[in-house]
Amino acid sequence: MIQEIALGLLTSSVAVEGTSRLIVDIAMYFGLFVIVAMALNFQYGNAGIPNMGCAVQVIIGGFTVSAITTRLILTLVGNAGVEILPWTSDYDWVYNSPKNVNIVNSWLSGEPLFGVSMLLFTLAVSLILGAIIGWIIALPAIRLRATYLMIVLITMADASQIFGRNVVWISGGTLGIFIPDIFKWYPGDRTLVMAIITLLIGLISFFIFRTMLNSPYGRLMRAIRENEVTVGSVGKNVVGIRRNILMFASGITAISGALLGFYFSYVVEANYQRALWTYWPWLMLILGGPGNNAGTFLGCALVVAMRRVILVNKWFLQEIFFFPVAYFEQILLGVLLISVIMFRPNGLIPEKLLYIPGVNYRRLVDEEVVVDWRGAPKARGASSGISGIFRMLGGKKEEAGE
Amino acid sequence: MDWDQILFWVMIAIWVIMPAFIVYEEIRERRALAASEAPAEEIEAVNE
Amino acid sequence: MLIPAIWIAALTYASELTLLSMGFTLTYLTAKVPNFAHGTYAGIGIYVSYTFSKILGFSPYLGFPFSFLIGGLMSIIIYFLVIGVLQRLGGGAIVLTISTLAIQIFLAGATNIYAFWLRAKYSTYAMLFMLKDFDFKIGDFPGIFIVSVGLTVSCVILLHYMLTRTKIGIAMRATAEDPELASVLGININQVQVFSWFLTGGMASLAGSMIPIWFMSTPTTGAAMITPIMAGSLLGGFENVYGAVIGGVVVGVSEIMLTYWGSVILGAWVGEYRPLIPMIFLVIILLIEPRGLQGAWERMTASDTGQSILKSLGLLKEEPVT
Repeated sequence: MIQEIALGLLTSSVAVEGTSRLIVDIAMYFGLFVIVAMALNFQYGNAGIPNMGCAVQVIIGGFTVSAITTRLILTLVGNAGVEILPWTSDYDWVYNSPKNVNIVNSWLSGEPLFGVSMLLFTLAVSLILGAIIGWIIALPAIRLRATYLMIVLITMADASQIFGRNVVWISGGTLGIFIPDIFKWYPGDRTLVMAIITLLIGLISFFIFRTMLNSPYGRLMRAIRENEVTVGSVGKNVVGIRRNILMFASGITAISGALLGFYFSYVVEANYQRALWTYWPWLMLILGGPGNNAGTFLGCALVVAMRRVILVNKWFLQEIFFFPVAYFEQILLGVLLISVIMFRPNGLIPEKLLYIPGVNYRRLVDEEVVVDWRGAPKARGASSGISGIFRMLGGKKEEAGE
Repeated sequence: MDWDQILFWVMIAIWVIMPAFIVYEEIRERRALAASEAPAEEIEAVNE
Repeated sequence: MLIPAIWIAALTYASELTLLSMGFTLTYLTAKVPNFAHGTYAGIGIYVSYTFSKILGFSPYLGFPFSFLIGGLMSIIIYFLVIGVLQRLGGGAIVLTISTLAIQIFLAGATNIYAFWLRAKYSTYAMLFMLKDFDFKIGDFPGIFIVSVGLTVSCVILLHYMLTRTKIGIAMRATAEDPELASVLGININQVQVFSWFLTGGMASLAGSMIPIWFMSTPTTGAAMITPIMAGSLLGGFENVYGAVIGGVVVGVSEIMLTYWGSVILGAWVGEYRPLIPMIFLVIILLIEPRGLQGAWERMTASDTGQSILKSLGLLKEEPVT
C-alpha cells in the first residue's frame, strides 16, 4: 500500500517542486481533519454524544472569518488611510470583495504583526462562537439520546447551510467572500505557513484533549457514556458536564473551520458541506477506532491519504469509471462506512481500558471487559418493543417518572 | 536564507511528533496495563 | 369547484409526503431504526419515472408498478446485505442508524452516477427535470393531483386492512410490539422483516415516482426529502402508521402554503428558506414532545386540566384516578 501511495504521489505530472507542494497540501488537509476528528472523538468516543452535526461547528469558524475578521481588517485598513472600495451594503460587500482583497493584500505585505494579530483574533473569536454553538447543540442533547439527537443535529447542520447560502452578510450567499491574505508578508509559499500553523494547533489540541482524557474529568466522561443514571445519582451534574464537553469541542472544531477559510482565502457555504465535514470525520473516527486518539489519528491519516491519492489519479480513474470522481468518492464513503461497521466495529485500534496508575483491574473486574461501542444504547437498559425505545429515547424526563 | 526549505522541514517535524508521541504513549500504557495484571494472575493461580 | 393552483401543489406534495412518512414510520416500527435512506428510495422512484418517460417514451404512470417493484427489491437487497447482517451481529440503534446514513450516501452517489450515465448515453439532461408534459387532465385538474391523492388514500385504506385483517399484517404488528414474544408464538421474524422492507421500499419508490410529474427534480431531490419525511413521522408520533398520515399531511401542506404566504407577504426571498420549515417542525417536535401529536394528546388527557375538560364533556371513562 505504501508503494501505491508513493506511486500516486509521484505520478502527479508536475515537477519535483509540485510534489513537495502536494505534501504541504496533504499536511494542511490532514491537520484540519485531525482537529475535527479529535474533537469528534472527544464528543462521541469518550462522552457518548453522537454529534452528527459537526459541520455546523466547522461552518461557524468559516463564518467568523468571512463575517467578522474580514470586516475588521477592512475597517482597520480603511482607517489606516488605504483607499478601499465601499463594502458596507450587501451588494458591495460581495461584489467589491475580490478587488478590495487585492488592495488590502498589497498593504498587508508589509505588516507581519498585523497579520499575526488578526490570526490570533480570529482564532479567539471562532473559539468563542464555536462554544456558543456548542451551547446551542447542548440544548437538545439534554433531553434526547442516540438516534433522536442525531436527527436534530443533522437538521441543524442543514439549517446552517441554508442560512449561509441565503444570508448575504455572513458569507456572501452563493458567491462567497474573499479573505485578505494575512500572511502576505511571508516571502515564500504561504500555504507552508498555514500548514505549519494548522499542524501546530492540531498538536496543541491533541495535548489538551489528552490531558483532559487522562484526568479525573476524562474518567467522569467515560462514566457518563456508560451509565449516566449512576453518575447522576452520585451527584454529578451530568447535564452541565455534557454541555461543557460540547462547548469545548465545538470551539476547537470552529478553529478548524476558520483555518480552512484562511487557507482558501475564500469562504463560501459550499466549502462546508455536510458530507465533507461530518461524514468523512465520522469515517475517520470509526475506521481508526472511537475512544482513543491513536485510532483517530490513524483513521485520519488513512482517509486523507486515500482521498489525495484518488484526487491525484483523477484523470486515470475517470477513464475507467466514466463519471466524475466526486461520485466515486461518495460511493466509496458509503461502502467504507458499512464495511468498517460490519467487520471491525471497534476500529483498527480498539479502545482499551483507561490506564489508571495504581489500579489493579483484576481485583475489581472478574469478567472479560470488552469495550464495545456498537451496542451502546442497549447498555442503557432498553428493553425490546416500542415502550422500551420511548423510555430510552424520551430521555431524562421519562426516567424521572413525570 | 531560504525560509521555505526551513519551514518545510519544520512542518514535517511537527507532523511527525504527533504519531511518535501517540505511539510512545500507547506502548507505555499497554505495557503498564499488562504489568498491573501480572501479579494478580499469580495470586489467582495461587488461590485456585 | 375551483381549487387554487397552490392548493393543488400543496395537496399533491402532501400526499406524496404522507406515503413516504408512512413508510418511514413502518420501517421504524418493524426494524427499530430510522431509515435515513428512505428519501433516497424515493430518489430511485424519481429516476424510474424519468427513465420510463424520457428514455422509453411511455407515460410515467405506466412506470408506477415497476418503480414499486424496483424499490421493494432494492430495499430487500439492502436489508440482506447490510441491515439484517448488522442486526444479527448485535448492533445497537446508533450503529444501525449510521449504517442507514452510509446507505443513503451510497445510494445518492449511485443515483448521481445513473443520472450522469443517462446524460452521457442518451444525451438527455437528467440532472434537473420535470415531467409535467407527460401528464393528463381530468376535468380541470392535472392528473397527478387526482392520482397522488387517490393513491395515498387507497394506500392508507389498504394498509389499514392489511395490518388489521391479514395474517402477515398482524404478524408485522406483533413483531413491532415484541419480537421475542412474536417468535415464540411461531411468527417467522425474518420473513416479516423482509416483507416490511419490501413494502416500505416499494411505497417510497412509488411516492418518488410521482414527484417529478409536478415538481422539479434533481438527483438529490429524493435524499433531500428525508427531513420533511422525518418531520411528518415525528409529528404523528411513532406509535402507529396513522399518525404518519396526519403528520405527513400537516407538514406537507405547511411547507408549501407557508412558503407561498411568506413570499406573498414578505417577498420572494422566502422561497429559498422553504427547506427550513420542516426543519423547524422537526426541532420543535423533538424538543417539546418527542412522541409527536399522539404523545401530546396522551399527555394532555392524562393531565388534570385535560381530565376536567373530558369530564365536563362527559367523555371520561369511569376509572379511579390515583
